[in-house]
Amino acid sequence: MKGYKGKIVSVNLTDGEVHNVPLSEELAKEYIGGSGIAAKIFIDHYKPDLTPFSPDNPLIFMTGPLAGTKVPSTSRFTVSALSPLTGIWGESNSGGYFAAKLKFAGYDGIVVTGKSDIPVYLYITPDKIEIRDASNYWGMDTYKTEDALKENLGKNGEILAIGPAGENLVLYASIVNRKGHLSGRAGMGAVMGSKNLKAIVVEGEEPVEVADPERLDGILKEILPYYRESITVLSLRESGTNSSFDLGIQMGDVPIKNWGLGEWDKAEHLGPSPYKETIQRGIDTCYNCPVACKRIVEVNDGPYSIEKGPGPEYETVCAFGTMLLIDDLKFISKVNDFANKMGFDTITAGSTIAFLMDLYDHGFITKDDVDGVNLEWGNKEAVLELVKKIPTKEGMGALLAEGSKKIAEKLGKGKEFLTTVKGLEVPMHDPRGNFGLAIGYATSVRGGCHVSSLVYPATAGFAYFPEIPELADFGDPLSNESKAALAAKANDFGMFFHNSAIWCILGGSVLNATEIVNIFNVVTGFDFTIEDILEKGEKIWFLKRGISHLFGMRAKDDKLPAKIVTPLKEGPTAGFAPNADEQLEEFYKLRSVDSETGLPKKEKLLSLNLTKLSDLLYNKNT
Amino acid sequence: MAVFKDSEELKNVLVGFFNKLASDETIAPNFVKSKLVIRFNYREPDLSLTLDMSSGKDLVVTINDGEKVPEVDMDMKADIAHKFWLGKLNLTMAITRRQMVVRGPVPKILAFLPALKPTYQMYKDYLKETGHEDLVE
Ligand code: SF4
Repeated sequence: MKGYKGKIVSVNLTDGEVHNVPLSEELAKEYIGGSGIAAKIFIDHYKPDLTPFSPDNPLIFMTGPLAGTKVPSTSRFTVSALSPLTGIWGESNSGGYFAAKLKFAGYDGIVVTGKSDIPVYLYITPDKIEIRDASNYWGMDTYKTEDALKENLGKNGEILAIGPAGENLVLYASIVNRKGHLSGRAGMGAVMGSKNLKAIVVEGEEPVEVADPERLDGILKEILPYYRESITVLSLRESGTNSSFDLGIQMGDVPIKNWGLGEWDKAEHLGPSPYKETIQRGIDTCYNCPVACKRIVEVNDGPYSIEKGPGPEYETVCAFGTMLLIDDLKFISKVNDFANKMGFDTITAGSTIAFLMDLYDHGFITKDDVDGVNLEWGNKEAVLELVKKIPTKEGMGALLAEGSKKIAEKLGKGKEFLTTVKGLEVPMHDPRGNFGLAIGYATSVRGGCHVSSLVYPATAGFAYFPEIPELADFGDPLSNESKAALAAKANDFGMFFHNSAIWCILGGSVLNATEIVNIFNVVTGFDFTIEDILEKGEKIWFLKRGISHLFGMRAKDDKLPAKIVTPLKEGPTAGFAPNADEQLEEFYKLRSVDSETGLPKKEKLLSLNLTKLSDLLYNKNT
Repeated sequence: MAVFKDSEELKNVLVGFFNKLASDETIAPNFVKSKLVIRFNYREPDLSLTLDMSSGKDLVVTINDGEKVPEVDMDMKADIAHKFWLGKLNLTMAITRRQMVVRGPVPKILAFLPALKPTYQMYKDYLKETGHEDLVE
């Protein structure tokens, strides 16, 4: 089998057992890699009494067959488990350098179960898999952990580490590689922390074999010029993910004041030009990616000074900028630096604080409820004070560490100010200017997310797959028509493209579907058509969604929060809002999903050969 | 059916609009500080229109100007241009799908984008003022 290493590390931290499990060709062909294979592994580990922090919750790190090859923008991995933030299927996807190195160490993935008595880290090379004492590293932030492990083990390893947020089970804790590459969403870092697993170190130099190297070289020659010519790529290289900020403001894509305002004159202070002028010091990239969308920033004076290091992405600029009415990139860099070091997700953190500011603004909570801070919109000091309490769960931090949905449940009020879908705070892209995002958020398998499927890349316009009609022609952005069909195919192709194969959703966007499938075939030696791929993607989508059904997710959880679909009074989308219910109704029909329950029809699951899932959902005794 | 019936109509509308923009005390300074020379190459109907802001002071509009060397060159159908100035075009999508071809320094183009924000409303207002209400929707 080419592309794959054909082996997965299996570690049980309770009894210290370590195995080397073969990855069969059958599994690879059916579930591709990344979170596709992870979903299959998860269902095989499923137990009815599983909870996010139970030792049996499998934490699954998976690469794809292209990681470590010459194919640009594909050396990525996914981390999957039952999410502590949402209580359903959780996954996070990251670039950086870890995926390639894991392949060079001889493995496609790592499955961690159990819970160690003491803090440990995994040390994996082609010759050994060891569970080592990490007591000396416990309590360190992710930057110090990375530096200390490299100092002690040498610089050849690639490291994934959690920070204090993961150790203290902040429900949206992240996992960090090289200080700036984060598996941010859905709390995979907390699952790692619950197992007392501080870090994973991988080392190795074994190359990844591809099925047809000559043909691959030929294709690469054809596609590499795209990376020099594409305006999207050039913009990402020039200004990172924040390059879309100004256009986003003009199109009504950027949420402002917890999604309650359509225009804000200070937003211009957060765009790519001020970013470059005030904080940017350099650029960075992931393994073998010519795009280089990562930013290096520095703030060397004032209250928000930080050393040179990874800079905020677009999502963080909005979550701690426009969402809170803060127009200070130095401040946002400070928060970003802290979140990276402590290891937590800035989308959930920023959205949770925006939610609290809305509650404060509307008199639902007072200073007394938030450790005496004045939570007025735009109050940077208040925000920083609260953010600093998240990783340690000190005072108000204990509540903040749970995310906005659980806070609303605990307070017993304020649900109307939430921006969560299935418990996950939606990212910084507004469906009121792009109606397709409504169904995209509603049907994303991990909750409110713009990178779960290809709805966002297709409708934002930077990805184009003319071979798949539903992804190419989806009507007026401000109409509900054709959006359900778009979402169905966007989930199907997306489950393959950036979830399992695993291309970067940004770096891979220069390719069309034919090129993508060709490259995949040339690397693996498989012979799939686009149709085959769509079928496999559909199966993976049903499997992931089905896992969430096993934990109680139903149609009511597909609903969007009113806050993000209430028409705004001002701005580019004033008066517009998608009808998510109408889109969902059509989507359920297309997908053979029962609109009352949200469950897939049994026949549908059987037709996809998801027999175990069908048994678990429909034959309770199985 | 194309939005503009011929090059003459296209010229009248867009030159008039850019001249209005050039004399606007709020919008023009944000354009001219870019110091860019931008050429729009329209087709169906055909017209080449150059905005010269190289002085950093004025915005000069010329038609079918073979002399000036543009820093940014943009090719598109006139219909796409109209949709763009109405604020209804997804610029990223238009570029990805090659409905619009842009050549020029990306840093300067990105820096120029915020200046466009108020122009969409201005274009609508201009169309109404000049008896082209039918083109607004
Ligand atoms: S486009 Fe950016 S995030 Fe994606 S692989 Fe390249 S550098 Fe990494």
